[in-house]
Amino acid sequence: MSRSTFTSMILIAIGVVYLEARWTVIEGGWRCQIDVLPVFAAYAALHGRVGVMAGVAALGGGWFDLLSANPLGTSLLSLFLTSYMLHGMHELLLKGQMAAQFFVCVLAGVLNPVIAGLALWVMSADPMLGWGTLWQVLINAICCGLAGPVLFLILNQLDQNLSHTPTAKPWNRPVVEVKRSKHYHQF
Amino acid sequence: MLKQPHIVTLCSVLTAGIVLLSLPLRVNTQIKWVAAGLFLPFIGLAAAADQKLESVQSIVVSKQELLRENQRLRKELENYKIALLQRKTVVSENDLLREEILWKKRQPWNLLPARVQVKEPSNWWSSLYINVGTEDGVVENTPVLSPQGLVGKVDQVERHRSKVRLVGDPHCRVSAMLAQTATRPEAEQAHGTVMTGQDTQLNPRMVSFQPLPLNTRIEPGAEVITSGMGGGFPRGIPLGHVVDSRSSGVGLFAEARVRLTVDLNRLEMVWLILPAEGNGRAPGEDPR
Repeated sequence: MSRSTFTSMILIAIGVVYLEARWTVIEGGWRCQIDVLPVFAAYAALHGRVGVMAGVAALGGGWFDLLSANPLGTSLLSLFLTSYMLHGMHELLLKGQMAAQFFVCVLAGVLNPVIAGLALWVMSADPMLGWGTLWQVLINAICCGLAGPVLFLILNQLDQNLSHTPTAKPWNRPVVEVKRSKHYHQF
Repeated sequence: MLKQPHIVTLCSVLTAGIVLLSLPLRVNTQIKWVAAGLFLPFIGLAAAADQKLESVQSIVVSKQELLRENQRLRKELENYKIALLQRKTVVSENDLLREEILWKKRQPWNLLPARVQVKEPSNWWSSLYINVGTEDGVVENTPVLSPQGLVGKVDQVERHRSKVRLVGDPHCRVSAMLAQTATRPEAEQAHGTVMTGQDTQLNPRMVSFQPLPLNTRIEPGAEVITSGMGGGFPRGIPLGHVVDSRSSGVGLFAEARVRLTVDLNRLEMVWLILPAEGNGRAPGEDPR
């Protein structure tokens, strides 16, 4: 992943988190505040290195915590651990497949709130935890799963447009290089 | 096998996260303010986008609609003016009676309007940010209202914005009581605390009112108001209405489910009751 793709991804994530905070949907049929930030963590896990994952967790998570009543560091920890767990699969998965993207994003949508809730509970921050949390995690995971392929498509497109891929130099290709044997003169 | 850069990054991020979370809440909040500086361009950009959106909306609204709205508001204003006249006579009568029994006069509320910037993006809390801060005279624990009733209290104040914990959040407990009615004399006004209930998580408008004495008459629909106890909120601000009640705590006390009068998700404007100058007490607070 190039630097420009990373910057664009962070900017999109910041915009998405702001929209989440601006237009709340909890009172609707969902009864849950949707957070698609785990999708960005999943993308970073599948397409980037560990530095990219840390960057997404620090900048995206930091921005999320600033707009939220979360203590600073909650989302950093949860997003980074989520992407780190998913990073283990980045060589096994068919990350171009829509179904794979859906399931990875569902998994990210489950892992992120579970880790965040656990961190808040361990530090006795007294968050709103209960049976309703299960419903909210489920709905959030499904929404992440649905948003995943769309965001992956956008981010892949951005990566293609913004990344520079060097063209192969025909005179330097090892497959066409002719090497003379040291016994050449014997013929 | 983990590579060395992986181990270094993993350890540093985990350490940073754990250190940040284990800091005292006040220190963590201060770091949060410093970190907010990094995102200042985005905060400014978001505010500008909001303003632009509003101006676009104002272009879309037809003149006819605006005229209709204007007419409706004029009528409403006249109604309020008449109600205010009536209230003025009641207030002067009340002041006279207070003087008779040597009670202090009630101070009028010093209200400050504020616009809601963003609402809580996570499911763990019930809070929002407003566009006023220390520069406007806001201090921590300032009560926040809407015309329908109590909204919450200011939890953290920055220079130009403040965080409000809404009623129902685990960090915003409100001393409340059942309102006095013709059928409920003052002696039967049960006192308790409005706090997070079992349903609050999925429906922020449903809160719990407890602990109430077991022999309290709690009819569905009974109005719940702030009691003014503890000094956090002035007495008499509407909170909500009782939905149902049950005995709780192994039959030791009663608990009522209350539906808040304010729709916390559709708030655009709120009002802050600023402290009265001099006594440091919230205006309107019962001086008894």
